[in-house]
Amino acid sequence: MNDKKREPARWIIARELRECTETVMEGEGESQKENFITPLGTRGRRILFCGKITSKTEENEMTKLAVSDSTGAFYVSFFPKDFNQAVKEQIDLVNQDDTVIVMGKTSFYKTDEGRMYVNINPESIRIIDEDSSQYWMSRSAFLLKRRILGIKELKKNPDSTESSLVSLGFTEDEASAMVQSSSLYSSYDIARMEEILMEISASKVSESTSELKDKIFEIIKARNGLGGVTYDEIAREMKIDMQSTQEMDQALTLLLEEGEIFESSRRKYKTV
Amino acid sequence: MESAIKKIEELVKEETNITIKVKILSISQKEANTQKGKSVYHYGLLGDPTGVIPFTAWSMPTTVRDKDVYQISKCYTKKFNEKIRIYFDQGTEFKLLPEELEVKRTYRYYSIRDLNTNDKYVTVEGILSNEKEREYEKEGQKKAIYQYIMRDQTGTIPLSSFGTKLPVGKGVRIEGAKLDLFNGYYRLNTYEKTAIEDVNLKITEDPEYSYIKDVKTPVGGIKVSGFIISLGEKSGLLTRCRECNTKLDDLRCADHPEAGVKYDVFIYFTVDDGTGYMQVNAGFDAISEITGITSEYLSDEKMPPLKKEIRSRIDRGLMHGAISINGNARMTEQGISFKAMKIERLDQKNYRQIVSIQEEEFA
Repeated sequence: MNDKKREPARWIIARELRECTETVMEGEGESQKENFITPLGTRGRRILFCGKITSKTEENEMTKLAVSDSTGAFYVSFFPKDFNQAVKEQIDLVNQDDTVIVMGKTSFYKTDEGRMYVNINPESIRIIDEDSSQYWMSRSAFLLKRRILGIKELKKNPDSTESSLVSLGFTEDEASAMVQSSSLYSSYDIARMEEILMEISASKVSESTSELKDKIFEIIKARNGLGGVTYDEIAREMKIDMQSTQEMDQALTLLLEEGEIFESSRRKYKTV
Repeated sequence: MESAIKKIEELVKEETNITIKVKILSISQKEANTQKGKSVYHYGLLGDPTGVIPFTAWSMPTTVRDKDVYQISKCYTKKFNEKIRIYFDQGTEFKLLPEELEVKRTYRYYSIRDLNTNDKYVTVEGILSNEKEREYEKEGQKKAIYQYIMRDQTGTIPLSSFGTKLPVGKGVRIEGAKLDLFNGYYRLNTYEKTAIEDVNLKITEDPEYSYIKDVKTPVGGIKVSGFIISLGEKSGLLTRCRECNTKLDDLRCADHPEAGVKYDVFIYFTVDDGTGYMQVNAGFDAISEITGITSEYLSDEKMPPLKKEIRSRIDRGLMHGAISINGNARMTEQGISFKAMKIERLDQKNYRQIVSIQEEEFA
């Protein structure tokens, strides 16, 4: 699909970017560019991420933002120039606590101790809703999980090649970066990122709870005209055992938090 | 030494010095440029009672014809495009047999999204709709052709049936439909040897989400999600001639200067879902709901729409959140181009579908 080659925007969580200590040169001659490459096989210069702005400061003409995605922070610096006035307008519109989506180019600074700091020069920044942020996190975690499986495969079978990874279902782009990453970070402990991934998964509402939430909402909505519906009535209609209502409680809490329902009296619910 | 006769179903790996007894089903010819200059080779299909396999003949006697049965020895198999293919060269021997041979046709099953003209005859399953009947003349006789849209969970494709009316609104399995590319889109044709049977299918109206990395096939009804990462500079308000609907760069249509103008919107953008990105274009119908741009707003003669306001509504509607796009992929000289039919904001229902597809991969 990518005939007119555009530099892809890598969806990457803050923690993975923080683990990065290596860069590689890509391309030839004048078009050669320095790309970051992470221990989990993400390689590129442009990234796309979502998160909450935890700080916004302006010094002289430069605007600095810290954007947190729950696994860590991305650091964004912006200098207004003639060619990026559209981005300046976008930056001026965002403030602390806004949830934003940012696409930007990375630049790197390496310390003598081998630590690497990544700065992001934004190409676009816009306020988004929580659902969109959740979608970004879910897709980024999915892509990370794929790469973790690929890197594990490379560790298990050191003779694996790009084509053997492709035959397992990875894209050529994924396979090439994973093989390169695996040789650069041969002693990296992948378990650290697996833990992060598990934390992300645990924070997501399970599929079944989401479905339960929709069903409960429909039950409450149907009885709205009758003064609402009690907790016990919902459980009866849903055929839920009163000894195991944990998931139903979670679904009700979500509906209350999202403002879809309210308690008209104790343990009795109506839709808003 | 001649080897034992192998059946086609036994040809599953790369090997040499094979002997087969087969019926040639089709032969085509192609020119190739080699280091020694131009050369001609043949390719086609051959079959036996156990199956059908494609062949390439770098060299073949001119007397070899389709529909004849041969014992062919000293040929070999190799993988091409991930499929086993049989090859003939100068050492291959052909012996014409004076007998008939039953051929078992086997066709690989494809989801509509995964169809590929590397396989010209395929098996598909889906639900047919939008039946249209038209007539055509062949050898002085009037014949009917029935046209449908076939839909499965991954996409839609036009299907034509010559002479046979097919069941509409329920599941069908079509074995041996011919796939080709027409006007930039894939289409399927059934013919006398195509087998059609009723099957029970659970296909919802809503197609399942595809990853952008997998959108390679020019078919319709494809649904993707993602964020718009760049919006085309010229996206926004445009004017058309009221008479001929042509897009105008000037204030008047050169052919209908008195007709006046009407307003329309058109956008083009790049969408990214983490697995890849693609270029998309969309018209008024696709973006009206998400941007809040109504036909009344565009046609208000007292207060014509403003370019800046339109651009601002497009930005607010499309650039501030994840979106879901339903549309058609078309093959162009530059590759696949995607036309959006409907763009919506990604809601919790869409999100759950996406998560469920992601989780299936690790199940």
